[in-house]
Amino acid sequence: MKASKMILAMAAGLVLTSGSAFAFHGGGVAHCDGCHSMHNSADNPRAGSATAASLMKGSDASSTCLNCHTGASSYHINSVNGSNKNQGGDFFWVSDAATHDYLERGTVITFDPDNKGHNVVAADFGLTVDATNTTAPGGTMNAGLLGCTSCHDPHGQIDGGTANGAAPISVSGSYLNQATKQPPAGTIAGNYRLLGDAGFKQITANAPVATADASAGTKVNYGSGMSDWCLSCHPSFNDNTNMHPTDVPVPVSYNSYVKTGDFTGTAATAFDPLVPIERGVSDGKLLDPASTVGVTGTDQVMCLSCHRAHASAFENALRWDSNTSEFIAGSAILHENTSTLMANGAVPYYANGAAVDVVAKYGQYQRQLCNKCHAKD
Amino acid sequence: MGAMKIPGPVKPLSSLFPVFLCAILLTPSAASAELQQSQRGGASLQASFQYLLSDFSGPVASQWARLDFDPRQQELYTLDQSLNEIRIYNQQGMEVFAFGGDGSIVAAKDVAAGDDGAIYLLARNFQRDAIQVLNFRGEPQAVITLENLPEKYQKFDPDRMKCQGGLFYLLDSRELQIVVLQSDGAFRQAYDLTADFERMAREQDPEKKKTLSLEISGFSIGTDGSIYFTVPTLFSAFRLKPDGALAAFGSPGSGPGKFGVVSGIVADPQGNIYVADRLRSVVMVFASDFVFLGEFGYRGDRPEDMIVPDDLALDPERHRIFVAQAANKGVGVYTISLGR
Repeated sequence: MKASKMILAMAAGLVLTSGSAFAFHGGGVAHCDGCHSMHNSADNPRAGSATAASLMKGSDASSTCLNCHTGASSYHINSVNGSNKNQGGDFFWVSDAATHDYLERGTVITFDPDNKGHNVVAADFGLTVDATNTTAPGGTMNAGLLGCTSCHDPHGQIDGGTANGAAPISVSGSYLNQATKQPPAGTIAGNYRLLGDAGFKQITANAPVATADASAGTKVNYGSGMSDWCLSCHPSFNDNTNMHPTDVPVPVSYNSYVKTGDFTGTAATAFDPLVPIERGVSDGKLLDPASTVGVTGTDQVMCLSCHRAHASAFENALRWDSNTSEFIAGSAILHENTSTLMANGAVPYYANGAAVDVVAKYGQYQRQLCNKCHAKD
Repeated sequence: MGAMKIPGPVKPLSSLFPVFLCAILLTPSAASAELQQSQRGGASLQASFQYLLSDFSGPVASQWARLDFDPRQQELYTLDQSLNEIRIYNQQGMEVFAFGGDGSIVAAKDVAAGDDGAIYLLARNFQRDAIQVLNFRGEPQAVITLENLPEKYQKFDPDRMKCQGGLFYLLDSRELQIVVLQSDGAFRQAYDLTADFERMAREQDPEKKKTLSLEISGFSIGTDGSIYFTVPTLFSAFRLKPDGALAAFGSPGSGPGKFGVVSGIVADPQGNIYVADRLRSVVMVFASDFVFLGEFGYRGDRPEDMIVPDDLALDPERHRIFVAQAANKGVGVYTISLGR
């Protein structure tokens, strides 16, 4: 039956009359009762509270977030099988469900989820504290306290919020390139993805600037400030002498390098979402998430050029496998048998919301994607 | 002289002991704990917690398992998507069989019990593996492929499946499309809900400050062939009747009968509708005219409480409702008595 023949019979009192139900976060503080419970369910005759701290509707802060954000695709970031393809990555990879053994050069290796991303603690969803690190690598933050709200400010405040004199937030700060999503006069946009500003918990730098194509975040254009912001919890990594530098210019070879042995690229189409760069732009309105442009002169290397913010299928939350093979097409996880994560729908390599066939895109003998900048293979 | 009934040989008590033992072991410890509930609109709703689905070691952990109930066999099927494992529970809620965790079946997104006693799996790679037909031992028997799908539905990639009245109902929750197949896989009917949902979304958010994130969550089929589903970001539940009439109900909020993040939905033969809410950790009950009748559930760790309820299944004969939950809590079983 065609949809046009359907009769849309809305019941009285339908949600249509209830205002902007979509705008749950709206760039700032969300509906209070979306996360907090006043009476914990109907008519509450029961003594005592079954809620977590701060009357949250989850066993902990991250569980509260994942009430909505668990799942695959769209605004979800925690799948049951590693199938999410947003730029931030899928927390599945740090869950116990991702544990498995694989064969590497004749040796059985146990896939250790601990080292695949940020080990946020979400008891309701099987995400447990990092069993390896007691503090943030390169920092002192207690790993047992890591959660979604270590990075994202659930109340979405800027400069201390309106109580501190800031203008009210009227729109999300994640889509400022779109004409329909500009803050009206007298109001401001929130931070990109509600990331915390300096002063929020352990964060010492203002939130980075970036824009996304949609809530799914399959395409993101990074503007500025990301690496400084990451250093809030990883301060010892602020060492451009002894570590791979950040906030340094991206080599122009980024533009010509297409894949191993292919240097025919041009600046207009050089951008590779598996090796994203930061544009050196501090106004989100100027960032097109669909841009394919490579290096133009102001672009910088950032933490997320190599790592995913949430988690990935690979060691250290890298965007590609640096560990199990000389060639990325030989990545162990791509060559497991039919009873493994791949058979259950996991997508280790992806870009722009779609799975990447690394052989088709880069060739059988593509080495590390470090070469996108360094062009050594 | 009437017919004489000849007694059988008397069995010694010792020979009956294994029978008693099995009867005890095959019945999860039933609890009659106080259950948080409320009633509205003159309805008489009595919900009672029975038990968590169990095996010989106790409650079986699972995270948001997919559920389907086989009314003929009085068995419940669960699919743990992470482990790709099917578990089957008997009338007493005790596991009687499990398979798939060893890679013996294709990766699946959903499971359905057929009217014919077969077990149907919706393959994760639908283009390649389609609908897998298994026997009661979980052994592959056949594959049903979708035939003659109209051009408009070429992107159709289902992630939910129900089997009712000899038909397969497949849902692509992201493309917002439902396709109905005959038992041999032949295309029968399809619904594209995109236009309706986008119209609702525009009316809710006329300034388009938010990016559209429309996705169907709960999905089930009523005994009359009506299709029920929920859309969390619209704070709405829907009933699509076989004649094409689409009706919506629900409003956002945290009070009784209000929608937080709605998930599973089922309807009983009388048309009463049960809607799970992940955020509020309750199951709400609505009459067929969408009048709120009451709800039960309370967020917590006690067995009778719920943690982020998701998929639902219904046993119409014994008035039981099965509730899949998060926190690896497994599946809770409740009995319902409902009057108005």
